[in-house]
Amino acid sequence: MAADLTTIGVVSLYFLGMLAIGAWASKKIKNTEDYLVAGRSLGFWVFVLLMIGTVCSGMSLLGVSGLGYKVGWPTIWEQIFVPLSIGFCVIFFGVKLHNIAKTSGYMTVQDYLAHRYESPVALRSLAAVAGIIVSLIYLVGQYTAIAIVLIWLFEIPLWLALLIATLVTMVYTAIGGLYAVAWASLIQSVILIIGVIVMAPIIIFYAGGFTHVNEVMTSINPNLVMPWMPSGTFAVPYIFSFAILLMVGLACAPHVINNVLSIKDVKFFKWAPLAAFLIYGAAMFLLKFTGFAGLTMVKEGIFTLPNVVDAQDYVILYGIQYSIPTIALWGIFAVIVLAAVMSTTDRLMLTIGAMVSWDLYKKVLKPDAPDKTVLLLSKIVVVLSAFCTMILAINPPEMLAILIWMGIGVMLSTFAVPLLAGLYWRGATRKGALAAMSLGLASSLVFGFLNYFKVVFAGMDFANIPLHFSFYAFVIAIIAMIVVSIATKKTSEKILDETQTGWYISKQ
Amino acid sequence: MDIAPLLYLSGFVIIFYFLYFTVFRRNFDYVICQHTTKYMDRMFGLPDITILTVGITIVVVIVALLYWGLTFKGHD
Repeated sequence: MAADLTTIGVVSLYFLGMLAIGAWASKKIKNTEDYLVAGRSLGFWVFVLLMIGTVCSGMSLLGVSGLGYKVGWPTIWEQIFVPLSIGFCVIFFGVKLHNIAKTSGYMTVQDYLAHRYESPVALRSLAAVAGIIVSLIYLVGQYTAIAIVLIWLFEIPLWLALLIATLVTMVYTAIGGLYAVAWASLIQSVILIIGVIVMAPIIIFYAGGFTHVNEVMTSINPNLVMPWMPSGTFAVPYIFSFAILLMVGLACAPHVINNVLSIKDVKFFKWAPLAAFLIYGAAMFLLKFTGFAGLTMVKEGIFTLPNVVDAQDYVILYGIQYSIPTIALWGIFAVIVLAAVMSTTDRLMLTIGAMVSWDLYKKVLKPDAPDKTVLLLSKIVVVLSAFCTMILAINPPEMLAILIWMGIGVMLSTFAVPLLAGLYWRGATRKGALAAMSLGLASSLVFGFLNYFKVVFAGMDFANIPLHFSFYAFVIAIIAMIVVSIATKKTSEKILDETQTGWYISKQ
Repeated sequence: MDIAPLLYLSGFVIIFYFLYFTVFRRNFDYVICQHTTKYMDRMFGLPDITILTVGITIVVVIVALLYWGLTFKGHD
């Protein structure tokens, strides 16, 4: 399809709005703290919608309906545990980190790890480098979603689609820092939620209604309407590991967890988990149902999906195209998808900027660097990360595609154990954290490759392992943390008290 | 803030799945599938097991988050 002038106008208006937010936010930036954690001034709704915008990526928007199209109701757990990851992040990480950050002045979660584990160089550097790599990979994955939508809507070449989206996101993020990202996310999340709530029911109605959709799915394969598959992927054990992956893995992803440092008052954490779950959950359930509706429409011959790899990711685009004949609404839908993609890409870019300029440059390489230099370096890294990932996204090597697929799994196995053990177990030590982080990262890559390439080794078929590959790496990281921590020197009581380590969330 | 109640609620979900998977699964699936195949006027065209498991999990999550909101005081 080729867009008309109205669609171009709607999308252009959206882009201009984002740039205006960046220009407004740039006036509030006085120092690095303003740039990286928005001066710790975010209010309740800005924070909640920033968290939703950060967690809801473009690929989750297209992929949620795509997975629903492919596997049906057994994938519905994704719609419970992804929104719940925000609550998990706030409750289990946010409250403590926010309270400690007030006195310790943390800018990134690496500041906490360096403090808690008395490791200003080794653990900070490992965590920062792992975070940068994982965030860059995740960033390339986001561009895939931008490309799918812009090419579908405007029939423009891939490089041009990527360039437009990258330029807009990069400009407002680079000039406005977290102020711009947070306020842009507020607008983007509102567009996303309202857009999905309005458009999804239209598609479901066009497909014959919710009950009809489920009945058609039953006629295709009765397992598609069951809560889990009888065996293999999306059987009960897999769903359990999938739930841990989504809920904990997303919660400890660097671009998500750093948001908790930017809130103004810890009391905003009171209702943020429930508000985020209800708002985001409702939108995600509707998105999944559009995937089911798309399957029904394909089955009944209303449209066919294109003959491309991962064609199921196009189901929502085709569903919109055939259910909503008004071309102007397609432009609005394009804005919805762009909002979802950009709300994650901007936060990822800023997270990479923070980890390079603050964690590696200021805290490791040049501790006496002036604030102005750190701020400038943050902006330069945002620009560089945007262009590097864009170039990679134009022609992604096979290896990169595999790493994007591993995405959240690598985050879970690398960051979850050092963070959870650091906050809640006084016995966790520096060497334990280093072992857990490095072994978690390495083993998740090994299990990921074995699973992806369907390797059969020592009688074990890695293509059909009962749990998500990352869960095995997660368990290895837990064992490494416990064994090494027991065998090594304990952290000083002073540091443990300063970092509020113990089996509680907050002392009242 | 004591996190024990939250853990109990999370434990409830895990125990539910554990029991289902290890003890009830065969009979439960059989009975429900027979029932749903026979009567097509089921709710939303879905098997009861889907409505029950998804519904119960959502309710448990909302109750847990509600509990958190009602009991968390925080301090700045």
